[in-house]
Amino acid sequence: MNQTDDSFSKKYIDKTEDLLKVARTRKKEIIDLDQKLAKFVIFLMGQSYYAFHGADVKEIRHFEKISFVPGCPDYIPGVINIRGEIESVLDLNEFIRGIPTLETSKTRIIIAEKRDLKSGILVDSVIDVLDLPLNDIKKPISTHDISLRDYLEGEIPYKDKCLVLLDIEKIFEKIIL
Amino acid sequence: MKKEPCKIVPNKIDTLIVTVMESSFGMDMAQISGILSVDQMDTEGYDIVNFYEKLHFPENAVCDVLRRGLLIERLPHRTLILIDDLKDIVSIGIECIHPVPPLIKAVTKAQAIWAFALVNGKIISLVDVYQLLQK
Repeated sequence: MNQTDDSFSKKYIDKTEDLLKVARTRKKEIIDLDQKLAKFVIFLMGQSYYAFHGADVKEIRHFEKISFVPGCPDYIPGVINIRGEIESVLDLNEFIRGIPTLETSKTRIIIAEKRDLKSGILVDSVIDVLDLPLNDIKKPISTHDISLRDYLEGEIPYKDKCLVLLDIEKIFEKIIL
Repeated sequence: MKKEPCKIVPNKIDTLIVTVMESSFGMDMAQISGILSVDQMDTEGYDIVNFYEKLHFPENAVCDVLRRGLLIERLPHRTLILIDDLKDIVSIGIECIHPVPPLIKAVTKAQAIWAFALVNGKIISLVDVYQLLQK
């Protein structure tokens, strides 16, 4: 083999490696169009990100005056009027973390409904409503706070964070039963 | 064939509205025999009941100024329910009355609240006075 052949082979190998690099990068970017997407409502409680299935959320409302109902635990501050219907309000911060939600301009009431049970859910703020692949839901890690474990459905990566997916039905059941 | 006695269902309830800590409570006027101010109250022969205590208000929310008493006569018992003040007497149509939401029904100790009414967009908790007086 002469010097010209060597040079050609080296060029050929370099080119092939470059092409392989490009192919590997592209493979990461490929999105499986067949994977099922679902809508999620992402909200903030304290410093942590949480999510509900979008299918369980009927409406997101700005904070409004809650009419106090005596005899209820602290996590149910009262009732609100939604277009002529009376709905309960659950303070999720108080229910899960034992810390009452402070009213700010970002405070929202998520109207959730699951299996004939409907209630407003008070949260610090709603961050986003978006479609995410169902395959992204991972089993929850065991290091979560014990107060959360009864209501955990899973975790979802979101930007550089991890969303804690909460099961509305389990929350309602815990209150009703 | 035996005829069922005809039941008269009122489509309006005359309701006494009282305001407590910015919340409004309504009571059926048919359950109330009289309304007294503090200086008119002759408590002899009456059981005295505090509205706040019976409805399980949190202790820090209780107003100390009790200005009125509601007379409830359900013989042989005569009871005086102490409240802080009256607001109005309104006739509430059944279409304005809504059931207690299930989450609240499941957890509240105030079982005497039997429904909520919407009057001019404001939420009023409707209280069954007779149930309130049950132990």
